[in-house]
Amino acid sequence: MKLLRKLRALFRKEKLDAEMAEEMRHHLDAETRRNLAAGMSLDDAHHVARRQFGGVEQIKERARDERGWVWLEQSCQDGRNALRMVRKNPGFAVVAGGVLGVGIAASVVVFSAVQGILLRPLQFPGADRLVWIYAQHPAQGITSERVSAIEVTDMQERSEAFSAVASIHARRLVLDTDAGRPHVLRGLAVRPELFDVLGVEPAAGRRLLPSDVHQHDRVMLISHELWQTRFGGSQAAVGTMLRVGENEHRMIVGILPPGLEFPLARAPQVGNGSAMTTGIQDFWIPASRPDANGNRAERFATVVARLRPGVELDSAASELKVIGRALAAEFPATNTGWEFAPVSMRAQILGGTGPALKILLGAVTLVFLLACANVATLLLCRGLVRQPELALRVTLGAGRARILRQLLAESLMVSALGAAAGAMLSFGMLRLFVAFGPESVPFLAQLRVDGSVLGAALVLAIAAGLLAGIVPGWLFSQTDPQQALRARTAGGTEAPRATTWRNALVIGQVAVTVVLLCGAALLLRSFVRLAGVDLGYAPNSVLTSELGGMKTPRGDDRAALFQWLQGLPWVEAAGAVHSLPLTGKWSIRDRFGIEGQEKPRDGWPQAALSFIGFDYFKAMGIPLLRGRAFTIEESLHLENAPVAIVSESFARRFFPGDDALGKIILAPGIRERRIVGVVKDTRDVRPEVAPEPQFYLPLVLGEMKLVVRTVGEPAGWSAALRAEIEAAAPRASIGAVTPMRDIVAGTRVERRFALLLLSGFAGVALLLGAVGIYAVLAYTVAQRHREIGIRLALGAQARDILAMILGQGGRMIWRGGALGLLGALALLRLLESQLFEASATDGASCASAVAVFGIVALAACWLPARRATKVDPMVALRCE
Amino acid sequence: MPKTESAELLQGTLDLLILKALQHEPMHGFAIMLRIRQLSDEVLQVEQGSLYPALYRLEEKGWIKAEWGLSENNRRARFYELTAAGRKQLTAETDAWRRVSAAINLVLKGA
Repeated sequence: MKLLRKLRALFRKEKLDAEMAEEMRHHLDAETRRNLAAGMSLDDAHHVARRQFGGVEQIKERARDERGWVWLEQSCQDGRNALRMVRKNPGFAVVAGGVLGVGIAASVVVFSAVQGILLRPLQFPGADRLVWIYAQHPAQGITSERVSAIEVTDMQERSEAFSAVASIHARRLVLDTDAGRPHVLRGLAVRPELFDVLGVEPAAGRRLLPSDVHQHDRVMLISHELWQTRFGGSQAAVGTMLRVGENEHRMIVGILPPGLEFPLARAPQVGNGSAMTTGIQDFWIPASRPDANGNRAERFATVVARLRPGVELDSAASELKVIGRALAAEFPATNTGWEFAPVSMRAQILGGTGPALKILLGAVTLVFLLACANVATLLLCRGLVRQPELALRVTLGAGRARILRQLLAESLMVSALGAAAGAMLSFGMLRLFVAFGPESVPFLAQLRVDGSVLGAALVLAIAAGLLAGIVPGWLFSQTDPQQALRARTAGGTEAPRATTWRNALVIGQVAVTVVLLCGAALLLRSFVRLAGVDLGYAPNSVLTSELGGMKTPRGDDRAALFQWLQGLPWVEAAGAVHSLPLTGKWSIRDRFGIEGQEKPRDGWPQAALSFIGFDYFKAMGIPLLRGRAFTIEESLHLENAPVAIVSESFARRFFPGDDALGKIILAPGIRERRIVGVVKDTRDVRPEVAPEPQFYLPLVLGEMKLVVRTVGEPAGWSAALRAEIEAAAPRASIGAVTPMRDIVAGTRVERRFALLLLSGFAGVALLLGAVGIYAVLAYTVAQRHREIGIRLALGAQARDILAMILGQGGRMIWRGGALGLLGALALLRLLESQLFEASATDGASCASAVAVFGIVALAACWLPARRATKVDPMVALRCE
Repeated sequence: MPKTESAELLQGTLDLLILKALQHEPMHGFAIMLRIRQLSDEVLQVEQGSLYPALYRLEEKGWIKAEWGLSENNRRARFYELTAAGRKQLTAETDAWRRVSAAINLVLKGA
């Protein structure tokens, strides 16, 4: 009952007010009549009655207070007033709301990214127990190498720390379809233990069994996605035979669960752009088990294992160390100096992105704080201008708390606008983030703005409103009415505390902006340096293609193809290589001996090995420094070609001060080889990584990458290349045709993304900083209107006024700039991990960033300063 | 006797007086004011500024209820009336007042 009455009081205010008024009126009448009856005149009677009645309005107010919910009514009133303020000053609301909106959107996007990427668990059960196992050779500085098949078996047999150990390596199958071209499938060759390691079960059919390897009954499991597209999800798929190669048939024995995405992009030694190992694999086939005589040095398998429950990473690491040493003792030729180490899969996947995301978080926090500071400054400025009005309010009886509440309501209104703007912006920005983000960022494609993030936006908005409003609100609720009113007539002196805060806020904003600008400048320089690094080859005119199905023992097909290609008018040179640079070499590090040199104490050295053929060096643009390239015969017939070519660092390292040409290398299993040429070093792993000693052997394998140097723009020749290959080698299967330039660019994607983001933030900061300075000066001019008028009347020149205003702005700018520069130099240390070859010139980049900001800021000061000179002294002096 | 300012009356006391005034019949605000004056021999003169807020407060609490009606001059006026709860409250407050005033009297006599 009571509640109902209160609600009625809230909503039917006018009616109840009218009733109350009527009641009072009646009372007054009755009183008057009584006085009349007592003998007074009408006027007197009325007067006396009224006097006795007291202040009607005050009574009504007190009565009203008893009636309804006071605080609720007052809050509604605050809200309505705030709304009215917004309508009267749309410019302010738009600017402030926009500023907040941008800050909120940026925060929401990065927050979503952090939540979606860093905090999202890997999809496998107990994923934090999964580890990669790397091979390492500390003496040679190798930290993340793959493992040989026999070593996997050793680990399986000898280790206790893992409940399951499995290996995987990338494989490619060519699916023969009845209609048209062969279809290239990418997948993994795995050991059956992988199911145990990952904890997955097939969606249909059966898993791989150990026996699958021993039989030559070829089996495979296909992915859920492939099952849907090729077989329409029909159950009959299990049991079908697929023709997957020249003479290869495999039976589908199972279907993998949907969405099985194995984050191989982060597996050791896999570079970017290697489409074979990212995303969803089309198939799993059994990996062949080596016999005891298998090559221990052929390290191509990636090992993934699951820690036994209760076993921690350190114990596993110690155990692997022991195993490593045992193997080195048993097989000194191949394993001396080699160790094994486990790395948590989760930590490693995030390792690459972790620091970058942290920097991003830092940057976005700065931007958010900047936005809040900006709005706070705007509110401060407006408050300073409104001081007389607020003073009047206090005089009329508003309590300080009431004023504070009202000012907070206004800032919350602005932040409500900001939240709306921010929410809309965040959807758009997130889409941009996903579109431009590098593929190597795990889980990027699934990034969404979800409800919790929007909720975060709301919270952020409220926080922003309170943050931005609290200082101005508190300062102005303390307004001393006397002082404020006096100041108004005397000519506008400012409240010192508010001014100090305002200046501090602006200086802070300038500093933060400078920091962000410097960060962006540093990254830009680093990026430019990286882009200009000498790769050792010239990728710009190079077209590459995957070629398969050319495993004819005669090799004539291949020779014919290459000769045909070389004969084309638009082809300058054509060559073949087993694994392209920057795509994650199928890195064979083979031991080799050098004839005439002593075997070193810790065994023969190892170097990277590349199999190439035909005119590879010319096609790739790798300069031949000495000697010659391989001939066609050498390219095709491994047995009859005891030759090798080495890189210059190889020559320098192993034949210091001597000519490498003519020297003999001894490679176990590959026999003596005479060095016939020396080529320039190439950056094969990543552009940032310095080149390592490398030697090249001639061998054109069945599956290889075709490298073609074209005349003119390579992308234009893609279709032609495909057509030529189809014509010249009909049984070959052709994979993707990619310009080498794209592969190189692919390695820079992460950096470019970070640069884009940080530049975006810096740009936003620049805008906010400029807006802040402009607003402060504009309000100052408005405040000092009268003072300026007086100065002009007393004889000041326009340039004096200009100097005065510009000086005020300039002081804030240079102080903030100095602070920001200090901050940026400290930032250099933080960013070091992301910078490529940071050098002394980076100080210059910072300085130029500051200069850019200085120019923009001065431009922002210019407009209000000019407006100040236009003040008409007569008007200024006259108006109150 | 000098007029006692109603400001000296405690809030609770005013409530009690109003409830008492309404004990027998419904009245409008002005009439209540007159009645209290009359019953107290012109000593207690309730100001309108205190009367109406008190009336609304009592209405909130549910001790009196109000209805629009016609006054003696055929003017619209709001008439207040005791509710059942109000009657109970009147009895309770009267008892409490008697106890308190008796105690105060004792104290004054004793000194």
